[in-house]
Amino acid sequence: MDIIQFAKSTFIVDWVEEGAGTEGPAKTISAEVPNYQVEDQDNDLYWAQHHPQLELEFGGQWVVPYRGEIISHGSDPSEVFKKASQVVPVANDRLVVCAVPHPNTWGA
Amino acid sequence: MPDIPLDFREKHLTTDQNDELWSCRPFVVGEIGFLRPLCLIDTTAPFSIVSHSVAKHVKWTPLGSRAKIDGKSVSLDWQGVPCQLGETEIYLLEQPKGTKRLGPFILTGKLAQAPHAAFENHVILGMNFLADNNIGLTIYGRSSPGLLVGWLSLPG
Repeated sequence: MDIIQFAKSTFIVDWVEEGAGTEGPAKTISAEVPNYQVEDQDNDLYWAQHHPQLELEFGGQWVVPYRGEIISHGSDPSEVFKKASQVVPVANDRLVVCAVPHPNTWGA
Repeated sequence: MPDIPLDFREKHLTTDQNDELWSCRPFVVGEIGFLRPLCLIDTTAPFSIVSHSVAKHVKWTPLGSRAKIDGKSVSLDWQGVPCQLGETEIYLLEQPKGTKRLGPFILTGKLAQAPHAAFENHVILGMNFLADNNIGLTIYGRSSPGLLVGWLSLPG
């Protein structure tokens, strides 16, 4: 499941036109804000940094885990955060950009 | 005084002689801005080290790009990666239930100016981190072979 499919299957996202009559219509996303608390965030963090399969797949990268899925990953944490925030309609401080250990560190 | 348990990450290595060797490293989870890097406790590191991808995303106070000991220049490289000296803040999270955030703690050390091949998303907490923040470190072996437990004792 890619991140777009994940977002569509998880949330109700609808487009609402706003600002008509000012400087032209602007489109914003209104979304059902899920109940995602700090405890959920920390559970996802722990999972992402300890699951052996994730280390094989994403070792050495930055990832954003969300409800047991990796919704964004890469080497640049800003880009990883940006991509995740476009997908999941939760407050930005609820998104965790966390490091996944690199398997090659064990010979160092 | 609150404690942060150390997260000992273990690996079993198999040598070319088919011997099994156990190894581990102690970690804690840190929070710097929106990042949760892997924080390795390294008692052989005199200074903390912040990897490049972390360093370029946090606000830090520069402390210099060269240093001397007894009048003689010392290298600030980290395994070939050039570094500058700087200071920032870090929070520590209590894992596995990381809802408790403790800090901020002073993080003074080397900030990498280029990526490291393996430790790119790490922060290495050196001895100065413990000293600067009055943090205690306890590690001991259990009766079962290959098991270590430990924790950081934080100022109350």
